[in-house]
Amino acid sequence: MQLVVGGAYSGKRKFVNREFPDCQWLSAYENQSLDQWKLKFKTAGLPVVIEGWEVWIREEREKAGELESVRNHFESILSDMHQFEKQTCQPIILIMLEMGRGVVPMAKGDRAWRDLSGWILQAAADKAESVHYCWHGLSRKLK
Amino acid sequence: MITFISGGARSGKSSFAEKLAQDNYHRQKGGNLYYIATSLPSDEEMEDRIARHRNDRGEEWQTIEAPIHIKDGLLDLQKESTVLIDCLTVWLGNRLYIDKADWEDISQEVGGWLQAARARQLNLYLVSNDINEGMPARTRSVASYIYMLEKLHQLIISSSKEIYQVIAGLPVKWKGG
Repeated sequence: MQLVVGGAYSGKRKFVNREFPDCQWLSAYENQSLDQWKLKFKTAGLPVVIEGWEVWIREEREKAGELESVRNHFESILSDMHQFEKQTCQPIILIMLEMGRGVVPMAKGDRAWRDLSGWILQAAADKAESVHYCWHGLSRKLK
Repeated sequence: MITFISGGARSGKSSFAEKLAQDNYHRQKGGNLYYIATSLPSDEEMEDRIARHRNDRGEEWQTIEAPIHIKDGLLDLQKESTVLIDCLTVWLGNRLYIDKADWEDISQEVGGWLQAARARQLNLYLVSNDINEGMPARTRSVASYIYMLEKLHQLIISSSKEIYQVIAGLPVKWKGG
């Protein structure tokens, strides 16, 4: 599993398109659901890119409410993906948004959203074989 | 030569950029040392801050107030001068919200700085802010401001010989130097 992280419009997608020109994409920005992730592995061998995690995290938090249960939900999906990649040898690339570097949000819901996104990002980085950080269109390997 | 410096709020990016520019000016034989200030003196507090900054920088610096138009001023500078523009975020805000400029004008202006730097053999130091790593923007206008700023960063970076990210006063080198 490979992770690409960076701020908004920092060139994450451009990086993935350059490194993995031929991919299948699952995107929250296209209103696709994360539950569908296994269905994306249609063409054997082609890497699958999964992006828009912060959107899925926000939706799940609004549904479930309980922080720990949302966190566990995503961590177990990440574990499943990790296993699945090993079994199928089909690369998985996760694109995640860095959103933890501003001031503490005023609204409780936003704080929860930001906390969850940070924890899930850490879990993804822990499981990933490689982590790249994008900054203003440049990238640097962190792991 | 173009150098791009960015970092979070109060990361020490401006001091680092000033030091880089000043060191370059001392090494350089020709030209002057210019500081292009982008803030508008909106009230007394801001005027005080600007005056304090100007004093802190010392006598070597010549300050040019250019909150909106910078390109034409650059073309008038003495060749091989060292020029610091601080900072892009304030300038973009001025262009968008005071000058009501559109993206076309804005990107052309910044492209013009890069061209002017080449034409006049300037050593141009550009300072900006990492504001895209916080909570996702709530409104379309903030999202589009961040999007434009990122586009400008990438445009400048593509012409930069040296690139630094400043964290806690320490420069992390991304390119050159």
